[in-house]
Amino acid sequence: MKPIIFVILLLSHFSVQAQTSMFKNKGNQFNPAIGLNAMMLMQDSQVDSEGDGFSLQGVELQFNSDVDAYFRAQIVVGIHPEEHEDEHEEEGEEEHGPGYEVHPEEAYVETTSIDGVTFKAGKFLSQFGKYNAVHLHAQPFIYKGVVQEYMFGHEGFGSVGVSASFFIPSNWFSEITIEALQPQNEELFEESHHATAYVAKLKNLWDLSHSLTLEWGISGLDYKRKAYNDNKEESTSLVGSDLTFKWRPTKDGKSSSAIWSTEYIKKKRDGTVESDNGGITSFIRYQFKPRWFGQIQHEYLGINKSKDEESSHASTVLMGFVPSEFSAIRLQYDIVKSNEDEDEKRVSLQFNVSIGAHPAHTY
Amino acid sequence: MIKLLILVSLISFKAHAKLQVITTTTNLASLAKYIAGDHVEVKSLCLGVQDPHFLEAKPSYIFKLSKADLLISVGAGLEVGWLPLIIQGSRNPKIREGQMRHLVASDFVELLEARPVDISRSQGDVHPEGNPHFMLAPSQSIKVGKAIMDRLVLIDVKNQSTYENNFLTFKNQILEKAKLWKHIKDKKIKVVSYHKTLSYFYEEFGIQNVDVLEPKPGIPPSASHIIGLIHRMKKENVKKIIVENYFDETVAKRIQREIPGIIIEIVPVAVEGSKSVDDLFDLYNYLIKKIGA
Repeated sequence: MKPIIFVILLLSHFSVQAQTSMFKNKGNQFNPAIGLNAMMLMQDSQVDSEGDGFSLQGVELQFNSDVDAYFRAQIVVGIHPEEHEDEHEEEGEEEHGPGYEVHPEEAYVETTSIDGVTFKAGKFLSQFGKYNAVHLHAQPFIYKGVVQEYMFGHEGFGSVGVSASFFIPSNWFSEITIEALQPQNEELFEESHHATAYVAKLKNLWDLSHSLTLEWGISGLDYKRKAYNDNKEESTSLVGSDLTFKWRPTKDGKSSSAIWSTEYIKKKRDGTVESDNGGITSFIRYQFKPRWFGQIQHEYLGINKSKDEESSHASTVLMGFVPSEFSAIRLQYDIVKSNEDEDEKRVSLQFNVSIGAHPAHTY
Repeated sequence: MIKLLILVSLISFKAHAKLQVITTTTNLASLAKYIAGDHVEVKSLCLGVQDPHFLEAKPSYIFKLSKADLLISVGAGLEVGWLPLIIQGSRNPKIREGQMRHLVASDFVELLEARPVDISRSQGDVHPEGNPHFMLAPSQSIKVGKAIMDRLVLIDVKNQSTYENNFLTFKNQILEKAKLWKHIKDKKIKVVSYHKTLSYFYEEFGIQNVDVLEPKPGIPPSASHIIGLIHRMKKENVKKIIVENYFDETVAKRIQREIPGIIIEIVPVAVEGSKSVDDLFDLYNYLIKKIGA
């Protein structure tokens, strides 16, 4: 009861500013901004050849607009190749090329008129860590890394729920995000309607100079479901920390820049699935010409792991050519060495384009 | 939990000794400082040496905007790649676009090169609303200065007379300078520029910008474009290439090898874009000296 009283107290304290625009209206501004990203892929793998050849890696269709004077809405619809179901082949069904599935990656509403805090409700990607909330077209590499895939699955951790985010009073950027989400992700939970997953994230950023920033974040996820009827008690806990340096000189900043980003995540599950494993990802991106950059990444999954858990090393190099901010051609080579599978070597070429009103990417 | 909520409730309590004004560019910051005087603390997000088209949405900018009492932006699509995200992240509803405490300067000037129809991204980084670099014309800065004065009076009426007097002083100084700069028009100067940054300055001083080094806005110069450009420059008897100092001067130097005697002027287009340019008057004087001489 006490939290509810305090939330009411909190809301009454904020000055809700929902005044009508007093300046000129720009015609078609009531239409949502519509943007579309398409990722075309050519891939050649040594072991898992299912995705080899030319393919449409995905399409992301984004709509965003103010709802009214109080709320803003964002909807991201993803179109991705369907994952092959083995039982179809067993049943002798004839395949007619790859099918595609359409699903809402995000569909949420957030407040715009409350001073100091943003409340969000709907389906959204969790802010846990540095890269889970980044859509595929904006990921630093062509694919999500082995650590992200192990922790959150192919599509990342996005679910339906609510969140609140606000600044901590300080002399630098320090933001807390708290989320309460439906436990819908098979890599994290045994799905249940009787419990809620909670995520908390603290994100800090310091300007070390006009050219250099340091970002440090810590994240936690907690989920517990008590035993009922014949169902076991389930629990999942995740902790994560990320550290990112970004450098872009104030002069000639269009010609050179660099990023060094490292993220650690540890996951522990108890109940129907028992697992305990941690992974670290670190990459460097260096822009050496206005339109060219190179990247290198190493990942290790298997830190403090339980006995039967997967362990793997993945190394990736990438060369990117960016004709404009709306198109990019990226060539990537991966080597993945795992204790469970044969070593994988894969080369991929991606053409990533953006049309329409594409919103700015977060820093 | 209770402590956390109390903490959140405290963050809306903001006590500043002075009004906090954030501008997107140093040109707007310089103008705001003239009008506001000592009653206001003015900071710019973009540095004078940075291209305001391509700023990144740094969380530290979000932090600055979260405390702002007034945001002054250029508008006309100049900051579209980063400012909306910063405003959204600031959780400061007072400064959202359309609110009284967000002044969009382009709303108060008549924009050149507006192309509201028949445009696509195949034409480069075009601004359908018009050219956003109007602060480089002294006469336009008077219009924006008047808008800033009016807005400061709305926010802080007790200092109305200070803002009005400061604006009048600024306006009179510009008009006095304009008399000294008047003769530039008679020179019929012809230049080639890297980007259409100085269109308003050129129009104000009767300078003809024969062509631009970029084949399209934001697209680097190609060899074929440069060959055509050299031919045109010779034909039009152009004597100067103007390169804004956040662009690469390599292509200008290549042209200089083809047209001996041509002068390359690398100029700041923003306050603090060069060591000797500390305010708008310095900037106008610098541009007059380098381009109008």
